[in-house]
Amino acid sequence: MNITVENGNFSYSKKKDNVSFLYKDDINFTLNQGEILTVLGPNGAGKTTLLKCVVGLLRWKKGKTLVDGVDLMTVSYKDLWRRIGYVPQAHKMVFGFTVEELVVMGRAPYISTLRQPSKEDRQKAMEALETVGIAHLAQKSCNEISGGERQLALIARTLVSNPELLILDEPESHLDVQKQIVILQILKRLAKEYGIACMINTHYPNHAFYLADQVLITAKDFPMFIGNVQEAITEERMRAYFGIELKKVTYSEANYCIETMIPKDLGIEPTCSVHCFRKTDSLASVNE
Amino acid sequence: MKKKWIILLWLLPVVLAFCSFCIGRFEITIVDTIKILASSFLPFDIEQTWTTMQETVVLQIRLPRIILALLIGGGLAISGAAFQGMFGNPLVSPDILGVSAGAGFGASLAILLFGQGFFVQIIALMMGIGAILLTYLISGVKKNAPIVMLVLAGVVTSALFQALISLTKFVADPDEKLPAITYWLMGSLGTASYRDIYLAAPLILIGMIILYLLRWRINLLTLPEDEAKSMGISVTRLKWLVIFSATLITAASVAVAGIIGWVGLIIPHVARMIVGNNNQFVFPVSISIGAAYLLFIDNLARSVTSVEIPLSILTAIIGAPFFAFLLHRTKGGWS
Repeated sequence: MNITVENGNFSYSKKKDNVSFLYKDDINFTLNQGEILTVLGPNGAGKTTLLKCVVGLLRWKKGKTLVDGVDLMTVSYKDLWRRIGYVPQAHKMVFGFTVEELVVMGRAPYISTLRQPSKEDRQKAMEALETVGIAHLAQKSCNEISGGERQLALIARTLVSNPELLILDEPESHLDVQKQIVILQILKRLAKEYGIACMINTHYPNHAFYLADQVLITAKDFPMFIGNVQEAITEERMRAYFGIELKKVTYSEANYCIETMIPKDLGIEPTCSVHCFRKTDSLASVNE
Repeated sequence: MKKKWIILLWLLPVVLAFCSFCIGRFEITIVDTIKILASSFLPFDIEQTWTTMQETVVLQIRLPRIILALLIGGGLAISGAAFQGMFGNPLVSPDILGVSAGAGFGASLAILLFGQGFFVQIIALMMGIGAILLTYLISGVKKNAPIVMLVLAGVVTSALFQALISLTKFVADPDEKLPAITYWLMGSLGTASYRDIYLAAPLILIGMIILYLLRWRINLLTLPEDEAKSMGISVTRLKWLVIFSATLITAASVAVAGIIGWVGLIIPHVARMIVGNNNQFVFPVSISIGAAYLLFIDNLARSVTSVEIPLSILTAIIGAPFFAFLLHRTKGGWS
């Protein structure tokens, strides 16, 4: 499935005319099967709003989303949400459903209104839990597992409807470093092995370097930029959009290479001198 | 082990119902009860070992009362469970949207104008449904009115009808009408008859069946609205279907038995403490425990003293300590 946004723009104001749009430019992009688009931008830039507009949880004030060339608003709700999965930020629930019960909910587009989930639905839920690696937690209450596990459960919940597109709102925020990596690896695997397109909000340029085929950068009063990672995440653009000095660093060893951004402002006086300098030296030498 | 529990839970109200026939000033043994019931409802010829008086008490007085207690108890409990799920809030009870207050006002007004009678029930029923319509209008007929708007609209409606109830009490004749209104507002099955059943049972049963079939869907409604939408369900339609069903049940219950508090609030919690949070199981268990609980309370109401005790007093006096005990034991097991 490919998803295209044509001249999309949004406004929270209710006025009919004279609307001040949220985004400086109208939004245009196409996301193809198996591709990952990451959305970067400072707080309040409208990243979450953008995700919601793309999948129709909010209505574009202007423009439209096309799913395989068809206007998303004309696709039936059930069909649409079989093909698209929405992963919100992990949150606690009022009622502590078990992880399995939570994941089975994702089968709703396949279960008619007055029916109960069948054995097959529960089977699918267990498969999805195995895919994300938390099948052993199936009977635990989703309020008693860790934040990272809860995020994985929410991803599993979208997988049970065999989606072709996942929309993820900061899936790795609030997680410790190890859990962040687990989530990122799973997302990349879903895109590359299962061909699921992903649109991901993130605060971390590093994660965009790892995941993204395309990057969309937005900030209030700045034109929206879309392009591949190398074009999009540059020191100049980060300075302009985020107002901070970031240094791009490439580190590579024999079988891998990692690109990352280091905030200069977090640099401290070189009292740890010898140690620090050596590190930079070795980095430089590797780059050569 | 779970199977055993389920059978036990369904047997509980049934067994209790048979025992309830033997409670009361007019003594009837359980064997006679079963014989009377069998001879009038089953195609058996049973030798008559009971008096006609006993037959009348069983069939005309105790049977309709027991049936109504079971229906209303089960109905209020399942609507409470449905509302708690829908509003994603464990403190909600079936009267949150103003149905009880509306029906209560309808009844008080009818008592004031016409005295006791069939009118009271019809007007109570209509005002209960009218109250929900008012809540609907206040909440803004907009398609996506947020849930908090609905709750606030319910609070407004309740407050309005509570005030109107007070007004009817204020102008009521204190010797005759006022006690009738006050007594009625506290809930009682003392006048239960088959006419009540014909009026209330169809509405309560329709509501219960719809809610029972929707029980898994209501799990989805506990999620934040965007998430629920992303499950491919039409949240607004589902919400109003739940409200419609719960309103039928509550309005019909209030119309025939007055305002009965507590059942819709605590029984779903008791159910959750037993079977967890999945409404697929919470709903059937709520029905069974709710039915048994109200029947038990009603038995006390008519047998403890020579005067009938209003139901709401007993549901709270018996329910509060029991619930406090459960809370203490399970540390609020629903989270």
